[in-house]
Formats: sequence, C-alpha cells, structure tokens
Amino acid sequence: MFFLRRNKILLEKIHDYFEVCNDGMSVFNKALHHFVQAGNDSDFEAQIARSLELESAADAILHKIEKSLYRKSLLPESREDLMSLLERYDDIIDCTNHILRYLNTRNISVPGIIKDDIREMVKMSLLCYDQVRCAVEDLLGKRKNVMTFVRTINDYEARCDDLQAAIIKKIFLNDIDKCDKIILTDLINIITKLTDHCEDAADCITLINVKRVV
Amino acid sequence: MFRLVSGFFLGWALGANDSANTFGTAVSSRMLRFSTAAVLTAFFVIVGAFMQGHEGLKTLGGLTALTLQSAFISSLAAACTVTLMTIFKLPISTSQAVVGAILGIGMLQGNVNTAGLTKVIICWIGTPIGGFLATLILYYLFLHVFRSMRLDIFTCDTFLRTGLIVAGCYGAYALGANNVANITGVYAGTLLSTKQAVLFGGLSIALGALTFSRNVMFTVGKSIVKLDAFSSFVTVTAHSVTVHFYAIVGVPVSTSQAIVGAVLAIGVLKGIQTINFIKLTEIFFAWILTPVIGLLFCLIFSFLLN
Repeated sequence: MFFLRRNKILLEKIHDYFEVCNDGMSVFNKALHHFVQAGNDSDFEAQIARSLELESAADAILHKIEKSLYRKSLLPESREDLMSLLERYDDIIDCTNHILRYLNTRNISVPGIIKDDIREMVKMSLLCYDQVRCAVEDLLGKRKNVMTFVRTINDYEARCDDLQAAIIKKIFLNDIDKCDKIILTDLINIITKLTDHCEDAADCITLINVKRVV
Repeated sequence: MFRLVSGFFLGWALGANDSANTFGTAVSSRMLRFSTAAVLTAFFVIVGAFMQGHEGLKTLGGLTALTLQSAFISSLAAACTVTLMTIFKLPISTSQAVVGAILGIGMLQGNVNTAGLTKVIICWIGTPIGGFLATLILYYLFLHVFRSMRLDIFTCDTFLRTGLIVAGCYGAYALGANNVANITGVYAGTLLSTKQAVLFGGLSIALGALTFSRNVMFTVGKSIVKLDAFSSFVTVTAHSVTVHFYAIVGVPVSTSQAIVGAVLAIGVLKGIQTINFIKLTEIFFAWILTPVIGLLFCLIFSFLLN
C-alpha cells in the first residue's frame, strides 16, 4: 500500500507535467498563428514570454518527478525508461520555444505564398504531439492502443517531411531574397524538428511497450 | 566449546555468501536497503532453521559417526574450502564442501555411509535441475497471470517489488531450513542437542548475512540484474521453492546451484545465445572441485592435528 500511494503521487505529478506541456503547446500554436498573420509585434513577444514561463514550470515539475523517481518510486529499469521518455517529451516543448525565439530574433517576414503551408505544418505537428500525449497516457495505463498511436505519429512525421520538402521547393522557385530563402528554409527545418522529436518519443514509447509485453 | 568456533566460522561464511542468492537482486538494484535485506535474511534464516532445519541435521549427521575432534576438523576444512573458493571468485557450494570434509573423516575412520552419500549426490545433481524446471514452470505461470491482469507500469512495479521481497524472505527461510545442517550437522548429537544445533547454526548464518554479505549481494545482484525485474522475481522464487523442497526431503543443498539452474532456465527461455558457456563451464568445474578440496583439507588438518 505504501508503494502504491507513492506511485499515485508520482502519477499525479506526471499528469501535472502534461497539463503544463499542453498549455505550452496551446500558447505556441496561438503565437505562431499570430506571427504568420501579424508578424513580430508586442503581442507575439508577450506570448513568447508566456511560453517560456510554461517551459520553466514544466522543467520544475520534471525535476520533482526525477527526484521522486530516484526515491525508489519505481523499479530501476522502469525509472530509467520513464525518465528517458519524459526527457524526449520535454524536447518537444523545448523545440516550440526554440521556434518562437528563432522567429523573434531573426525578425522574419513570412511570404504570403507559404503562410498556409506553415499553418498546415504547425497543425500537423500539434496533431502529432496530441498522439504522443495519448500514447504516453495509454502506456502508463492499460497499454491497449499504444502501437496504434505510435503508427499515427509516424504517419504524421512522414507527412510533415513531405510538406517540408514541398515548402522548401516553393521557397526556392519563387522570387524571394536569397538571404531570406536561407532563413525561411532554416525556419521550415526547425518546425519539422517538432515532428522529429515526436517520432523520437514514439520510438521510446515502442521500446518501453515491447519490454512490458514480457 | 572451543571446537564450535570452526562451526561458527563456517556459518558466518555461509551467511555472508549464500544470503546473496536471496536478496542480491533487490539490494543491488536499490529496490531494498541492504540493512533491511540483511535483517530480513537474518530473521527468516533463524525461523527456517528452527522450523525445518532438523531434517537436514539427521541426513548429514548420518553420513558418518564423528568425534568432537573430527567435527572440529571437518567444519574447519569446509570453512577453509569456502573461503578459498571465494578468494578465487568461484561460485561455491557450502553443502558440497561440508560433505567432502565429512567424507574425508569417514575415509580416515573407514566408515562411510554410502547410501546416505548416494542420496546427497543425487540431490546435488537434482538441485540445479530442480531450479531449472521450477523456473520454467513458474515463468509461464506468472507470465500468464501478468498478461491476464494487464497491470499498468506502476502497479506492475509495486507487485514485482513486493514479490521480490516475499520471495527473498522465503529464500532466506529455505536457506535456514536447508543449510543449518551444513553448519551444525557435525555437532548435533555430540556437542549440541538438535535444538541447540539449529539455533547455533541459524544465528551464525544470520550474523554472516548481517555483517559481511553486502559485497557478495552486490556481486550476485549485478550478474542477475541483467535479467529484467520479472525474470529476477521468477528466479528468486524458483530458487526458494527448490531449496525448500530439499529442506523437506532433508538434504542440505546449495542455494547457489539452485539459483544458477534458475538463471540458466531464463537464458534458455530468452535465447541460448544469452548464456555465457565459458562461465557455465567454470561453475561446473567449481561444483566438482568443491567436495574434493573439502576432503583434501580435511585429510591435511587430520594429519596435522593428529
């Protein structure tokens, strides 16, 4: 009963972490759409600040989870697996902040021809993230649909890669300043990293799930 | 009473070495504190010795008639064998060392109970096989239970952690019940009564577990921790069941042999390529050498002391 109670506290902390991460993703979504629409203004900067705040809050919870884990909440192997998974999950959140900072520091102006493509790409990345969250929650529960979620994540990642190639092609086919072409290509590559991180998390989830099948 | 010192030395060495087979996995993987494991081992060893240790005493005492002098020599020979094998980092069987030493005495006296010896040798072969078979059965049984329960990671870990502690306690009980005869079998009926013999043996094993088992626990645990938690739980349980079975039969057997058989079974289940055959050959030779060295030490000490 003592171990169960300790694990219940840990699970609550993990759920708190997911809540903060979800808020962070939501802020990222709003900020990016705002940037594409209105550019680098004070509202965008306010959203960046909010996003950084949420990232710090998520990190603080993650440290607490780490401490709980190393206070023998789980078996060592499960502890390492879970920590590794949460670190990959954290990479997704860190990536969103990296994208927002990139936009803020480069003072990029997104050309109209790729605005919808970027919106589509962000939408796909967020859907991919949602699948990661569902997969992790299922992994920590009865593990009934883990592999279905993982397949969807991989599917989104592949579609995002295709979209990335298409957008970069569009950038170089159009009459845009050469320097802007490079910066925009970088931006697209960075946004694509979101789904790459989701895929990394999915790999980790698959490994943990396979181990648990015995 | 001075002659009991060698028996106490042997009990202490056995406790320091063999208690690692029960809680090694749990301690080295930090699932359990060493102090908790040592106290649990000590407690359950004494309980096991008291509850079911007398059967082994009868078998070992019946191998040959011992004088106080020969009891002292055989215990000392066995203790030295165990220590020597430990120095060479070879997996040891205290039971085999003791039986080898007693045989040495029997040979000098021209009085060896061959029927009793046959029973002991059959059980030696049967111990790793028993550990192997018990693991196969328990593995599939627990696997079926785990799969049908579909536990989440947290509950599953709690279940395995509790299971390892319970299996470790059971292993310590079986260790006390089975191996107390190795320590005081030679004194039972001469220097000590049966009750005194089991208490003395249980206490000396418990002291070994409490004072010097830490390093061995980590050594055994690290080699076993390569198994996942589920396999560790199965091997410790299978080893405990096997040793307990022989305690009921009344033959002192090696807990190390039981756990090696159990781990080998996991190796077979996970794939034959996971088995380290060089190590396995080393272990096999150590099992053959242990009674021989025990016998030789006994002959040397007899020669020196007489």
